[in-house]
Order: sequence, then structure tokens, then C-alpha cells
Amino acid sequence: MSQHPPDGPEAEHVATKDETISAWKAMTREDKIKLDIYAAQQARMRQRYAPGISGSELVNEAALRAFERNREWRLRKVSFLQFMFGIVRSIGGDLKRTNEGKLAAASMTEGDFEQADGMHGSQLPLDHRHMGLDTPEAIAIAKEQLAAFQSDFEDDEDAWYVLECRIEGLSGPETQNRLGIASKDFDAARKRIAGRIHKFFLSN
Amino acid sequence: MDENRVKRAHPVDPISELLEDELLQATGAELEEIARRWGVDPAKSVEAIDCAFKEALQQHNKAKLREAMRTRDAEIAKLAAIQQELPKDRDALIELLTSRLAAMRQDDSSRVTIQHRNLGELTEDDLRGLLRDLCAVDHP
Repeated sequence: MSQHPPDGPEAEHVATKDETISAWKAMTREDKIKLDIYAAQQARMRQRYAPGISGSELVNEAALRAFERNREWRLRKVSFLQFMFGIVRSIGGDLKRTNEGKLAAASMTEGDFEQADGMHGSQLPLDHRHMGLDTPEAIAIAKEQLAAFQSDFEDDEDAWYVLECRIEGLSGPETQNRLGIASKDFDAARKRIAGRIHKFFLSN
Repeated sequence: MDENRVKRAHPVDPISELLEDELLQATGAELEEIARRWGVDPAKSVEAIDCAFKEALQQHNKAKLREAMRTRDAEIAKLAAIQQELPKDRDALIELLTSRLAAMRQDDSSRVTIQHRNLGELTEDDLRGLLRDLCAVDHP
């Protein structure tokens, strides 16, 4: 990935299906480990409002959306791994559950369900009509989780403020500027936060 | 890496972004340590990811095939309906084709290249075929 992405129309080029397949095949072992971990993290973080979701289901659905080009990949701007992270993150809350309790891809159409499972009318997944939207309950739980997680850092001022700046939507450099902290202190705080996320979500 | 992020859509996105940053920067032992923390076996990651992509590609191709079959079935049903509507009598077929060609010529003469005075030389199957083709042109 170039450090300086091109400007203009070239930068806006959206990957074709073939380019997406090539990018998958060109993924390094390390990139695949990273994607596997990220999907496991996202699945873990969503267990309270999407119980049973697994990392592999998220990767499968993300890959499907990439092939279907439901999400556009501007390959000159973002690496394939970052693109996949973005899709996995966005689908965490909108996988569907069928009436039989099976997880189903949100991207499946009504016709696909009928063809694939012989389901008709009232047998369609309960949440199918709300495709693409997180439920208010899920949003409320996630907000509660975020507040509880942040309160874990009340004894660690740097980490608490770094998290607060992230919640406000500030980038890394913007956060450092706002807090007036050195790069190494910022990185250390960020690592302390990341290092506690798994403990929080494994017990919440 | 921040400049390419999409707009946040979920309350826990700030946490997800921190995890992304950590993963994007991690290498070697650090990555192994993150995997261990989250209960992921890196030795199985390559196969797991490839498997998920292969399955997705199959699902995608099957969906495309189903879509193509639905389109083809709809086309066949349309042609069958046209065939049922065509007259059985040869003279009636010629009359219908003549009037269709005349209507097309009036509409846009460049669209009509057939000499309809020779229609009498065509078989009934040819006449029906032409009518079906004209109908398909008018109702793509």
C-alpha cells in the first residue's frame, strides 16, 4: 500500500470482482491471521445482542459483500485488509437470525431464502425486514458497554482521555495534539486500552 | 490509517478502531500474543479465512446463476405467451405480419428492412418466428 495514495479519478477506482479475488489470493499469512483475530474480536464484542455470532460467519458474510460489491473497495486508497476490517465491523450488528435460530447472511434476498431453504412468506427470518440497521436495543447495549469500559480507566488518566478523544472521533495525531502528550505516551495508552478490551468483553 | 475510515455507525466503533490500529501495527510475537488473548489459533487462521472466502465465492456464483435462471425462465414464459397468442391460420399470420411491418415503417422506416411483398414465400414457422422476433424487439 502506497504511503501517499494518488489523487483524482485514479484514486476513486473501485475494485472489480476479479480484483477482489486477486486481493484475497494475495493476502499474506500475517494478514489472514489479523483478519481472523479481528473477526473473533468483533464477534465477541457483539455476543450480548447477537448471541452465537462467530468470527468465521462474519468473515464469510464480509467476503460475500465484497464479491457482490455491496461495499465498494477503492483499492488505491485503502489496503484490502483495512477494507475487510471495515466490512466486518459494519456487519457485526446486522446478521440475521432465522426463525429456526440459524444465523443467516443479511445480504441474502427473499428469493435466495426461498431457493436455498424452501422457506416462504412467514417463514422468512424475523429480522429480515430490518436489514442493515442495528436495533435500538443493540445500540443501547453497545452504549452501555462503551461507558462501562471507559469507567475501567478512571485510575489511568492518559488512557481515559485517549479513549474519550476516540469516542469524539478524533484521529491519533488530533488526540495527541488535544492532550499534548508525546507520541510514545499516546502509543502506550492506546496499548493499555487495547490490552484490556478482551478482558472486558470476555466477561461482559 | 485514520483518513480512510468510514463514518462511524456503531457506539463501539472507537474500540474497534483501537483494535484495528493494534492489529495493523502488530508483527511476529506481538501478533501471536493478541491471538492468544482472544482465543484464536494462528496456525488455523489461513485455512479458516480461505475457507470463508471460498464459501462466499460459491454462494455469490450460485446467486448469480439463480438470477440468470430466473431471467431466462421469464423470457421463456414471455415467448410462450406470445406463441399462444399468434393466429393458427396462414393468411391471418401474413395479415398480422404485414400490418406489424407497416406500423413499424410508419414509426421509423429505417427499422424495416424486410420486403413484405415476399411474405407469401415464407413458411408458417418462419412467419411465427418473425412475429416473435418483432415482439421481442418491441418488448425487450
